Amino acid sequence: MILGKPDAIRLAVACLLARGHLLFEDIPGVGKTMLSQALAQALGLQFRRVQFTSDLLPADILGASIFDRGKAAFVFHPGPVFAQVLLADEINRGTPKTQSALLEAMEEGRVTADGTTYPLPAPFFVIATQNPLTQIGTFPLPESQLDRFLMRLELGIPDRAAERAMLEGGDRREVLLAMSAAMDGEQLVSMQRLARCIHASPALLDYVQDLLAASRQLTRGLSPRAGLALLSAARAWALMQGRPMVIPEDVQAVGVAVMGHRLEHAEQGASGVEAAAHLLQSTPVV
Amino acid sequence: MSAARQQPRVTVRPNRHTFALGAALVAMWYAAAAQANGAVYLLAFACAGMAMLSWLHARANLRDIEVQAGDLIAETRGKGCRLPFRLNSKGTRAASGIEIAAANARSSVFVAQLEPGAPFRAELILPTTPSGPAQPSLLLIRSLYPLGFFTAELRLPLSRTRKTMPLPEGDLPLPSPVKTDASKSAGTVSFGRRGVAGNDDFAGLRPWQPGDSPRHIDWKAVARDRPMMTKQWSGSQDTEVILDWNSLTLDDAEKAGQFAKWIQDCEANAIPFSLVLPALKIPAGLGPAHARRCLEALGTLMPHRLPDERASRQRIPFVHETSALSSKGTLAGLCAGLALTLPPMFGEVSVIAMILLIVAMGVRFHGGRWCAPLARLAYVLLGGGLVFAMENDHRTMEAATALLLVFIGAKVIESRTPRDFQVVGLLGWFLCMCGLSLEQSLVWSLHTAGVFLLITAALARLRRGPGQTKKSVRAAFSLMAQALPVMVMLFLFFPRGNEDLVARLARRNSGRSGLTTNLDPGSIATVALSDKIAFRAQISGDQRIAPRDRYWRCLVLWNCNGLSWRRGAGGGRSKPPPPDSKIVRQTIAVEPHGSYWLPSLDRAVAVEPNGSGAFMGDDDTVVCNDSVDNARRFVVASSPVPARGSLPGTQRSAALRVPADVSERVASLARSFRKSPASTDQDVMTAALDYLREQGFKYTLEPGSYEANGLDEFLLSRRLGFCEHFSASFATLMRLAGVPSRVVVGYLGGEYSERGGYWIVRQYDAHAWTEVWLEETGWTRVDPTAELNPDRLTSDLETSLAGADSAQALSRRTWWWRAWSESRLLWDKLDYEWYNRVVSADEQAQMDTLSSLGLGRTKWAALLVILGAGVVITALGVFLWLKRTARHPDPAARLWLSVCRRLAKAGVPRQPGETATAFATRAAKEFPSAAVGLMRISERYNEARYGATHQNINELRLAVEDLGSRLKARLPLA
Repeated sequence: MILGKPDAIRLAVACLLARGHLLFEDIPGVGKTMLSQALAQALGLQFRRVQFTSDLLPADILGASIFDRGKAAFVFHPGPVFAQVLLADEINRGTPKTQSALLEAMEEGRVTADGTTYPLPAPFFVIATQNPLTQIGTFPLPESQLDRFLMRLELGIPDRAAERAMLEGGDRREVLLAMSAAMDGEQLVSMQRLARCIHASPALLDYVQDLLAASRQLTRGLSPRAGLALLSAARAWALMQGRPMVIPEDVQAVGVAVMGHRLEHAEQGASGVEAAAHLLQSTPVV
Repeated sequence: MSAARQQPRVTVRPNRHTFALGAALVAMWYAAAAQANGAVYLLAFACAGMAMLSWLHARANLRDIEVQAGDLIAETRGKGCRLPFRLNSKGTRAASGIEIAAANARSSVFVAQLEPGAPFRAELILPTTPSGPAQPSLLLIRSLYPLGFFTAELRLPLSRTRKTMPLPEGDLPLPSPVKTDASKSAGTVSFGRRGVAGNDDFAGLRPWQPGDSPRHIDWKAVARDRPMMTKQWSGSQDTEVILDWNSLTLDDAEKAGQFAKWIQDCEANAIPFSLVLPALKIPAGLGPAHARRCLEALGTLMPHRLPDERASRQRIPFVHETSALSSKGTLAGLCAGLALTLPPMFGEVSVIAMILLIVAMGVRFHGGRWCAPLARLAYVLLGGGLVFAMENDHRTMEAATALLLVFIGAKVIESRTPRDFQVVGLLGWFLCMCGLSLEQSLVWSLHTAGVFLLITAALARLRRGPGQTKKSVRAAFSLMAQALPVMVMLFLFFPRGNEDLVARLARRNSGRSGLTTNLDPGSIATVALSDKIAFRAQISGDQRIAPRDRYWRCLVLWNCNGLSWRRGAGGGRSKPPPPDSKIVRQTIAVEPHGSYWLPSLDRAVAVEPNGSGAFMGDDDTVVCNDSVDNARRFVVASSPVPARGSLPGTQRSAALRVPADVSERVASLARSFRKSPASTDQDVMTAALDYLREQGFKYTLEPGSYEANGLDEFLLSRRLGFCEHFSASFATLMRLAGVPSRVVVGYLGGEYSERGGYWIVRQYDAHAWTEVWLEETGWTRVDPTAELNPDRLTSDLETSLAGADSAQALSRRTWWWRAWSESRLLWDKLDYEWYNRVVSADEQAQMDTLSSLGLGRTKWAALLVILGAGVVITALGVFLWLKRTARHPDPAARLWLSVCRRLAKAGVPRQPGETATAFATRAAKEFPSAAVGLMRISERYNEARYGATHQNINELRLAVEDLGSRLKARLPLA
């Protein structure tokens, strides 16, 4: 389906197992949207998609109350957010106001409109894609919202062989339609529950805390939520490796994806990915 | 922070406290040698050993420190400039008491505790000259930890000219934004730009700033009593602020500060800005990188000055060392230490001086409001004068110590800075020495050791900073434990026997209990009230002495004055005893009493010459060539059998001299003892003893005082007396009856310590008896007290006074009395051992120890080599101990780290962030033969360390042990 990017796919699955939201960041045309759709399809989840533009309003995502003449009352019409997988395509093209509309949904799994709170369906993911900030006409995601994404993945240009295979293969849209679900929502929820039971020993927590402490020596370090995110992502990764406990390897495997976007402005002259990689390299692990 | 990481070596150099310590050590050595006092030697060696090892600790303290200095931040208003830096400890242990100074900085920064992994950031303030900030060419990291006697330094050269950043300051309003020409800025990448011009969206509110257009103020909010806010439109970010250097007419430094402030404002409000400098134009932009670029460009316009190399060669002053320290805890520790050195001196040193010292501490603790320099001077003069006036003899050690106490008090009052506290601490060590030289019993020696540790802990806390009390105490203990081998080696091998080099220190003689050279009614009874130890005697060959032979002879009195006897003239040497007589050899350790006599078992025949200064005196006594001011030990041989022969004429006449004022009644009583002209002297003696026995004389400790005519009153009417009354009157009666006689003063009895195998003679065993000259037996001992009260020979004074069936005698048979007495003997044994092995360990004892070690014939030079080698080995041990990395608490991690060390030694070091699996995989490529083992180890290790249970540690251990041999078969790299 997606060729030459096994690591990115694994990380994306780990992110979903850790009940985290996912952010793809790359230039257009490397398969961000395709991967998101394929993920939803493979996990057998209900899928909705919102294309963010600068004139998109919060009500376009959350839904709106419309007066129903028959009932003579306002009736809430749920927006696309009421889905199991919400693909927020090109999220940085939306205005900050619209981006913020997703905050409550992402963090608490519910939506408040007109003073009424509506719960969202059980597994609820936001998969967002965005173009790099250097592109013209984009609004950077506020840091609070960036922090709510468990992982940020960069797909990058596929290598020559993978690209060749893609060129030789059929239409990707058709392949997508032909894909069958590998599991359903129930199974996914139980897998997520399993991931939370993976053992994290005190020694591993020490390592995670060392990482957090080391990051805080930079100008702007990781938040406590980032620590939780790192641990849950590492748990999911360990589950995928079929291991009953988390080891530092798992933390390192998900480290760049989890910490990269949180360390974007942490160090002058280095991108977040570089800062995260350096952090993993320099923090002693025993 | 642009970092110049350099790792220069730590240098440790002596400072002024080192010289003070050296002087104190010499003084301690002098005191020890002058007194031949092993305990003082031990203390001096402890000080020397701890100071020596503190050199190593000082080195280790700074070893792992890493410094990064950042760019200079210049303040433009002439306040100076700041040098930010970051201090980090790379090691596994915290570093303590660090001062950071720069070659020409105005101030320094002090860090009490630098934990590993917790970097410390601070700034140094540097002066600014008209030609720019005075750049330091050197950062100095300095520490006096642990004891302050050595300065450890880390010099970090900053030869590179550092970038100077302007400090944002200034209060001019931001230039108003201008619309950018879209076509002109199309090529520039700016932040948040919308492609379509004029399509303004409301983008939020920001606090109102002067100069904002009134049209953009959120007036609705103002009407609701909210603060003034300015509306912002995303479209308005098509504007930019142009910061033009030539638009301002300030001086360069101030302009740079104002520009830096504007840049900060623009960043905070997300307003794109461009910078126009005389030689450079930076196009509009936003973001940290852009801001930094602009600030650096501004920095090039700041006045520049090269680092001053000369300043780095000048001495950098100790700012922390000489600035006031407000740590009550350290002061309290030091004062407590000083106060606790006083109890051993109690009774020896003037109480006035002690009170003055305590008062001085009190004054210091209450903020020292009365310590203007004049008041201090007055304190020293008044206190010194008072102590000087109270002392009779100013050349004694007691007087010197009292004066020292007054001066220490003055120092305590004026103590403000760490330097002062250090001096007080050293004086505390010195006071410990003074206490030990005045009082060396085991109790007080242990007390002094505790006080010594307390003062050391206070010194460590002074260097560590407040709030580190527990760690300081631990540091003092560990330093002491490490110094112990050095101390013992110095004690065993350091050359002694320097009597020729030093003069004995004089001691005050008053105030001690003990026998005096006069015998007056009541003089022995006074002494007998004390239960202090007079001396201990060890009989060679463990010969038991019969109770009637336990007479310890000290003084012989010749000058008769009725009931009072004086030393007088008349004594002479006795003939040697018959060659076949029994000789008892004793080692006697006498406590100081300030007089010249020495005790010996009746009667001394010969003294073995050693360094104690004891020699044979007249009348079979032993005397000392010096007053016995400190404990002495000597060996004497005694023979119970008196020497025979004839009495020389001068002695006979001296032994018959009677006072002129003897009453006729007493004279006739004496004459009545010679019943017939044919009666022998023996008969006269028997008759006199019979008289004492039959006339109802009573033996009592409280006979009341006798007046001038005491002899008549005692013999004829009152008939109550203590041993001095009986022996004095009996000897006088003998002289009146024509029998030569004299009085002997000494001790009777003593307590035998089964555990120690020696006799303990206390002051209450003091006794006086008589000797009469009989033609057949020579000078014969006659003890009228024992004739009257035979119990006195076998029991101690109290029991014999009370009688065999009294409550006191019965109480001696109870278990608690036995237990108490047993524990007292046990303690005395320890005390005696301490005295024998340490306090009195002189050159001879040192020789004996060396002989027992098989070094008996070694020359001193060789011994010094051994000593040096021993000290070096100890220092090396401590060095390695300090070098050790902290042990990992998890056994699995320890095993894994051992594998990593082994692989590093084999040439494959692990990177800090490399996990077990990654490292094992990498190492397996280098050692294909060990690949399976390595992978197994990494798996087991992950299970043991990160798994839910720790059951796999044994498998890991086996796998690690299995690895050892396989690593050797390394394949060469392709």
